[in-house]
Amino acid sequence: MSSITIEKSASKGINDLLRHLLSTGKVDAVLAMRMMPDTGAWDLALVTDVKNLKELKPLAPVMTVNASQVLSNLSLSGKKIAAVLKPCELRAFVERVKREQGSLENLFTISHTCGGVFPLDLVAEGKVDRLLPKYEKVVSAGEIPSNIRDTCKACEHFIPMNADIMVSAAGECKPGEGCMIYLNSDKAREALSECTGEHGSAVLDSTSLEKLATARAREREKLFSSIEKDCSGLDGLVNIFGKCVGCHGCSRVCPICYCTLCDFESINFDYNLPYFEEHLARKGALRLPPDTMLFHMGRLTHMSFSCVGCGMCSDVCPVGIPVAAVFSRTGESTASIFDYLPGRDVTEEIPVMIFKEEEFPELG
Amino acid sequence: MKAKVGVYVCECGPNIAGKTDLDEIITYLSEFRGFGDVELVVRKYGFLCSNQGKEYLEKEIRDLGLTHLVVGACSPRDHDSTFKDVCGKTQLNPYLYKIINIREHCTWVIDDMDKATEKAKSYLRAGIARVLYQSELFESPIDVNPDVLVIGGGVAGMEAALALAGENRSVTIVEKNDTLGGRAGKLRGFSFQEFNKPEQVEKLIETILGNPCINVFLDSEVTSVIGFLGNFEIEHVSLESKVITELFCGSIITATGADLYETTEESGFKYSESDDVYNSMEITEMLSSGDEITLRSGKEPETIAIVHCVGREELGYCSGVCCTVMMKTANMIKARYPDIRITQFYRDICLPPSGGQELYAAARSSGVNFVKVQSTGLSGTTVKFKEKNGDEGEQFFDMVLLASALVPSKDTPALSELLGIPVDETGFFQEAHRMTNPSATTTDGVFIVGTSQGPRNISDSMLFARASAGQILTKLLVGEKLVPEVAVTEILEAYCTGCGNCLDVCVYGAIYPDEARGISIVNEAICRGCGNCYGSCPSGALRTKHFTNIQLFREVDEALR
Repeated sequence: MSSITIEKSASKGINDLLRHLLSTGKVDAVLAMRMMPDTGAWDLALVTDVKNLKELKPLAPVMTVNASQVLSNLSLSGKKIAAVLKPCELRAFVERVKREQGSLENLFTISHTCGGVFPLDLVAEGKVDRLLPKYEKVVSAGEIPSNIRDTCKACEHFIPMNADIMVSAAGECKPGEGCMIYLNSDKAREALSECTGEHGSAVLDSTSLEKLATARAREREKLFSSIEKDCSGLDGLVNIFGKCVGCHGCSRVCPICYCTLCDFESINFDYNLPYFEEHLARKGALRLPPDTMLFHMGRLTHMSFSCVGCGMCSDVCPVGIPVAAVFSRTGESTASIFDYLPGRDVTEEIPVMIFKEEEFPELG
Repeated sequence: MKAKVGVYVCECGPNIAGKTDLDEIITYLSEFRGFGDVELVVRKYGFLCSNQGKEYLEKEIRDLGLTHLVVGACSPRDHDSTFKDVCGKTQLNPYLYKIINIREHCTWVIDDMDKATEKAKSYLRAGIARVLYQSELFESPIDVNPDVLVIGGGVAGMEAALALAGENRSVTIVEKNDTLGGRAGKLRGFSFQEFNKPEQVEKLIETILGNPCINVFLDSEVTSVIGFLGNFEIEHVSLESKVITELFCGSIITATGADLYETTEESGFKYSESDDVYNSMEITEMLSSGDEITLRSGKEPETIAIVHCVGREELGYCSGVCCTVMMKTANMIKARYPDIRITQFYRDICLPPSGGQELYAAARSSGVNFVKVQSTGLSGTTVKFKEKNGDEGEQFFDMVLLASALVPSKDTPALSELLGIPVDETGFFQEAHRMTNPSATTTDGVFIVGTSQGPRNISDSMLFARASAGQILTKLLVGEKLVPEVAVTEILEAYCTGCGNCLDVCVYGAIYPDEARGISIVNEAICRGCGNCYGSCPSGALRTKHFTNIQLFREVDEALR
């Protein structure tokens, strides 16, 4: 695999790379995380002017929005865009492309080995800057920071799949000791052929990430078994989702829930007299708004097998439901039935969109 | 306006009245308050489908000023349209009416009167709940184009064109070859019962060319088809000059014929062009041209092998016509060259009931040798075979004739895509229904005739051609208007994400992507309202009119209450 070594830290190295792409006109715009220097506020920014690049913090462990959502329409604009994506954002984008919600054609996907991201409340409280040095130290030691999202701690797919350009930013990467950039596609090799740095050939040393992989697997096991305990059966579901206030925030931020407007918010879910009468006749009392459970069940059946575990949903839940953990756990089961891994390959068809005459005969 | 729902229960003689307590149902529904302040008028009548019944219903709808109508009667298959027509004569839009089946679903299947009565009550409640959520729909008749396009100018296509032109329909034949006649034309009458009249097809061609209603384009191919029954827009291109011609028609007949199966070495047939091996077309051409039957060396053959079922195993179906052709061939050869020894290697003999047996008997009595085998192969003109008992053998012949199977013509997949008509497991065009509607397809207005639909002989091909012509003549009447389905699917653009799920499941090709806006569009003129897309849409952007979620939800809610 082609590679470029830049004698700078990974975060400086990736900024050099973005500058090269934008200034040479290889791309029209760059999409990456940004921190406004004066306010310390974080956002995802689309940059077309080289002078604005210095505000970008592409490798920062922050996800204010799953970038794959905003990338959908941008990717169809016909402009060339370099998008710095977390591995799960890239996988989510691939899932969206399968649903005609974007195209990889005009994109340079840049991703990196990921140490996990901070929950949004830490970001909103302006604590990221202060927490970063320790985070970087822990991540380069191949360990799991204690204050990242739960699903990040349990994420086993922290090495990007099929990114055009991959930056090593966890495990093997030591701050200040040089940054490895791997070029996975002809498109990337062509665009970066004149980028400064030492051009060579290298393969990501996954042995240096084994420690992290083991730690993540352990965390995953822990998270999943606690979810299984809390969320099994009807009582478990009521226990977990009973707190839901029906704000539908989880579906708004979900990169897989790609519908512009949701059926659950349409007239199909307006309730009126016969509905109330029927339920009240049986139970004598009815929780309002109704059908919050149906909403989560609907989402679980529609897209759990495509869940990439980015954790946005849990972060925005106002009542602290571990939505992401439930979806990750369910998704792992549903996807594995079909030997499916969301975001692995853009040509891999979504299981529910394939019709097979003979499938699951044991289910009748 | 306050809703006033009329609920009319048909006694259907003893069928409903004798098995349910109708008065109890009427009292119950009249007093039912589950629909808020909706006014319910609940009545019964002897036979609502009788003329008096229909007049009664019409008068009630008018006099009472009903806003909705529920009829509790028989299966909608029997009388849905009867009561729909009654509504059509009044102020009530027919789509604000619903028939509820309390006969087949209740009284005919439940012996216990109380249980039948209870079930009828819940069904009628469900019907009232549903009808309140139904919307007015308006049928808008469209002008139809009575003209017909025939793709393929073989005997089937010509016969259909002639039948239509006989009723003064304007017909266009688009044929990709430079002559009309197709395969039968090459046989010069051979396959007709009377061998000595080779001019049959020529006559047909002459009639076609001389008919002012029929327009023929040779060396041409259809390249574009858009539209629907009554309004098709066609483009066909001249293969030579590349000139594109536009054409408008109301229906399309596909008569693109079939090809002959080609043997492969893998399946055990090894021979070269210099060997005296001929397929059924080649030998019949040779026979019908009147030329001498000679080997490539110029000598007369002494022995001829006829190998049956070539391709039968590989293709998985029996072509059904090859045996007859080979019996005729053997008989014709024997008639002209009584000394040639003919051996037929067969697995099964498949003959049509009329005429076929006689051909077989004639072959037998003229001394043709029949050998029943399990499988056959070829090496040059040496026939290799496996006998019934498993013994393998081989025998040299001067000439070998192959009864090759019929396979779909090579244009079939492209045409299938173009016309939106599926092919079946054999690769031939699939009929709408094999038994009940064998010459139509699932696309309204597109018909299949001749061997494009599967192996068949000339007389059957012509019969199907006339059947299709008949359907067109009765379906698309000159000057009449066509009422397209109105309970079709519409798209709520705000909800559509353009994911394309619906495009994959639409069997009518009624949905297409609007790439500029990133959404899908339903062509309501093509849509038949089957609801496939409705089920595939994650955001509920698709809505099949008259079968909306809310209508179905309310109906089910009320039925289960």
